This record gives sequence, structure tokens and C-alpha cells, in this order.
Amino acid sequence: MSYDKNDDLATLDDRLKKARSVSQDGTNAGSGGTDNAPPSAAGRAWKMGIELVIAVVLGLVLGKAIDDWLGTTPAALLVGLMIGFIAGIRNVIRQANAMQKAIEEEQSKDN
Amino acid sequence: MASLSNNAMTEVPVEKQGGLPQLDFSTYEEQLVWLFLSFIVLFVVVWRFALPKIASVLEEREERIAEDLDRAECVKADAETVRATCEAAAAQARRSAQETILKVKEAAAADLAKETAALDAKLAKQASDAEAKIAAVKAEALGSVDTVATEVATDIVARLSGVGANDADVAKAVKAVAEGA
Amino acid sequence: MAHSPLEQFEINPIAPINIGGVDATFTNSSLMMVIVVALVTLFLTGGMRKSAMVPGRWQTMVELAYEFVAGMVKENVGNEGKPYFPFIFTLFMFILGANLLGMIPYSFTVTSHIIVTFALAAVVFLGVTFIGFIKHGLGFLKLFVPGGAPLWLLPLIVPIEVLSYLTRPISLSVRLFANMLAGHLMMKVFAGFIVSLGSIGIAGYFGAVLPFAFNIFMTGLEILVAFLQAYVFAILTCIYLNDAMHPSH
Repeated sequence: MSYDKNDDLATLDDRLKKARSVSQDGTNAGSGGTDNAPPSAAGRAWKMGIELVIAVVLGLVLGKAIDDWLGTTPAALLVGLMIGFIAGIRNVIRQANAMQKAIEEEQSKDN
Repeated sequence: MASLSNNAMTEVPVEKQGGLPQLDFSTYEEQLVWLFLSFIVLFVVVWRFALPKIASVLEEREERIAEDLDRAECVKADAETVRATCEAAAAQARRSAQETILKVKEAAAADLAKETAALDAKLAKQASDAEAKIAAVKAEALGSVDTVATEVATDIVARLSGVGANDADVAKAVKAVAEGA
Repeated sequence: MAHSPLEQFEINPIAPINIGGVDATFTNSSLMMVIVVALVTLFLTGGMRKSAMVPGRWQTMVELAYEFVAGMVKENVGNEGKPYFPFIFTLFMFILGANLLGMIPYSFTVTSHIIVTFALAAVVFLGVTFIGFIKHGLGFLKLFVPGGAPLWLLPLIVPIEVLSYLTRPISLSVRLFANMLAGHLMMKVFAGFIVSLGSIGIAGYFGAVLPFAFNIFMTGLEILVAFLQAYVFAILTCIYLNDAMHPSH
């Protein structure tokens, strides 16, 4: 008797399901694991440093502008410097947290 | 490009001698103008022509794949019903075959029983006939034993005593002896 | 001729143009921008000219770029990000095209100029801020007030948050500019080593092998950086856009 075609139908079913999931993934995956070029430690540190410097310089420049405008030299400049420094540190911490999170996610993905 | 830069008019050659060219503010205006010009052109091309085309192709393909998958699933369902009917038919056939076998078996058994019974009856009859015959022969033999005994006894009596014995008496005696024995 | 490593960044006029007092001189930088636009256009339309159901190699590359950016927008902004997809895609392709084209010897890297990257970042920054205010009105200012902060701390926190927000276009532009500048500078400096070592004589030839190998390695790295920086620029745009869409974080 040739009713052992059972297997053929079962494999067809599997293949259909696989094809469906692939075609559904295809619509929303796109980037999946494409960003798999982790920046080097030095690159990260450099990035953070730049982040900090930019915030400090921006605070300085804005403070200076306010000083020039209101004639409050050097009060606004000092305040701007301080705020810039805190904002820079905050940016760095935020970035470090994001990196930590990314690393943890990576590890949980591996495990 | 190298030859270009060598031959090109050098507007502000002195300024370019030192420092980063990136910090030469005199070039900012024209860079910005051309950046916005080219970026807007590219944006319009991408937005109006390139992306709709890519999107439509991708969509079409997705639809096509979904359609094909649907069709494959339909065909699969058909195949499954066909298989089910096939299996049902096979089961039916198997069942009816079994029934037939059972019936034939039963009929054969019944025939066998009937024949056995007939044979048994025949054998029994033959046996009883034979027994009857034996009984008859035995009875006859027994009967003749009495006669022979009477004759022998009469003979013996006659020879011993010389007196002819009465047959009836002898017979009575023989009978008495036979019954006593 | 002793080339300064900075020479590759020089802007040289090709044709002086002045429209209504605006200096629109056509320079090598302008030329590269136009070439980038032409090449990206060629890449996109040429790959899709057949619009095949089963894509060829070229079409696959175009579709890959599309799905890469589309996935990025969807992942970081969600479905609301769809109207901005053409802009982000243009941004990504323009930067990628400029970065890669700058890898060709004797060409010019548009994105190695701070004014260009800053203009792009400023457009993103202003656009995102504008979208934030359009979508949420003054509610967009919630972005500067972290949830759960005590009231008395607000006079300190809000300026910090505002300043941190204002650093975005700068760090966005500086990152792209510095990466392109540093990579090209390094390669030029080492190329200079090769030339000067090579001019010494036989011994110099052997000595030149090292910087030569380094430059080959750098070329590979720089192509990676070209992709990575275009990606970073686009994904940060997506993240900022997401902040504008959902300011309360």
C-alpha cells in the first residue's frame, strides 16, 4: 500500500510554515543583526570624550553669548561652563548605560 | 582631480597655506549652497521615483509569495482530503474482506460439523449393528452350548449307567448346573 | 613635491558663480556632491530598471539598502516614522555615497568638511524639533523634564537637559566629520611615509612595506567606517525623531 505519503505531506507542511515565517520576517526584519560591527573600546572612549567636550564647549559658548548680550561677564560663562560639564557627564553616563544595555542584550542573546 | 586642483584658479591661495581647509569660512557659503541643491535634488529623486518603485516591487513580491503560499496550502488541504478518503476506502475494503473471510470460515466450520455428525451417526449405526450381530451370535452360541451339554450329559449318563436317560431330565439338570455355576 | 596631508581637503573653485549676491562657486566639493547625487540616482534607478520579481545582483543591493533603512526606521520610530523614511533614506545614501566616493584616490570627501556635516545635522535637528512641536505643541517641552525629578531641582535640570539636547547636532556632525577627517589624514600621512621611504633607495623600499601594508589595512577599515558612519548618522536621526514623536521618556 502506498499510503506512506504521510511523510511527504508532513514535510510539505513544515516547509510551508517555514516559508510563511520567512516571508513575514522579511517585512519587518530588515536590519536584524546588520549592525554587527562593534566599535572598539578606544573608539567608544573617544566618542564619550568628544561627547563631554562638545557639551562643555557649547555651555561655554552659550554662556559667553549671554554675557555679551546682558553684560554679566563672567557670571553666565561660569554657569554655562558648569551646566555644560554636567550635561556632558550626563550624556556620557546615558551613553554608557546604553552600551551596557546593548552588551547585556548581546550576552543574553548568546546564552 | 589632482590636475584640476593644480590648474584651477586659486582665489585665496595665501589663506590656504596654513590650517585646516575645513576652517576656511570663505568656502562655507558655496558648500552650503551646493549641498542643499544636490541634497534636495537627490531627495526628490529618491522620494518621487526611486522609493515608490522599490516599494511596489517589494510589495508585489510579498503579495506573490503570500499568494503562492496560500495556493500551496490549498493544494495541501486537497491532498489531505484525498488521503483521508483513500484511507477510509482502504479501511472499508479491509473490513469487508475480513467479514467475507469470517463468513467463509463459519460456513466451512458448519459444513465440517455436519459431515462429522453424519459420519458419527454412520459409524454409530455400524457399531450397533455389529453389536447386535455379536449378541445374536453369542445368544445362538449359548443356546447351542445348552443343547451340546445336554447331549453330552445324556451320552455320559448312558455310557456310565447304561441306562438311557430322559432327555428332559438331563436338560433340567444341565440348566440347574449352568445356573448354579 | 611634498604634499601636505591637508591638501586633500582643500576646496578649489572650478567655475565662479554668483547668484544674486550668493556665492555659488562650483568647486571640487560641489562636483563631488553632484557626482554623489548622480551615482546614487544611477544606483537606485539602474538597479530597479527591470523591477524583476526575482531580483538580480544589482537589484538585490538596492532592495537591501531599502530594507536596511526601512528596518532601521521601523525599529527605532515605529510605523509613525514612515512619512520620514524618504528623507532618512536620502540622508543615508548621500552620506554613504560621499564617504565611499571619497575613498577613491584623488577624489574629494564631501563629508570631511565640518560645515557639510553640520548643515546636515542642523537640518535633522531643526526638522526633528519642528516635528516635535507640531505633534505635541508645548508638550514637547516635556522632553526636558525627566519624569520623577523633584520640583526644586528643575531650574538646574532643565538647562542641563536643554544643553544636552543642543549638543545633538554638534556631536552628530562632529562624529561624521572627525571620522572621515581622521581616516583620510592617517592614510595620507602613511602614504607620505611610503613615498619618502621609497625615495631613499633599496633599504627604503623594504621599510616602505610596513606603511604600505598599514594603508591597505586602513583602506579596508575606512570602507567599514564609511558604512558605519552613514549608519550612525541615519540611526541617530531615527532616535531623535522617535524622541520628537514620544517626548516623555
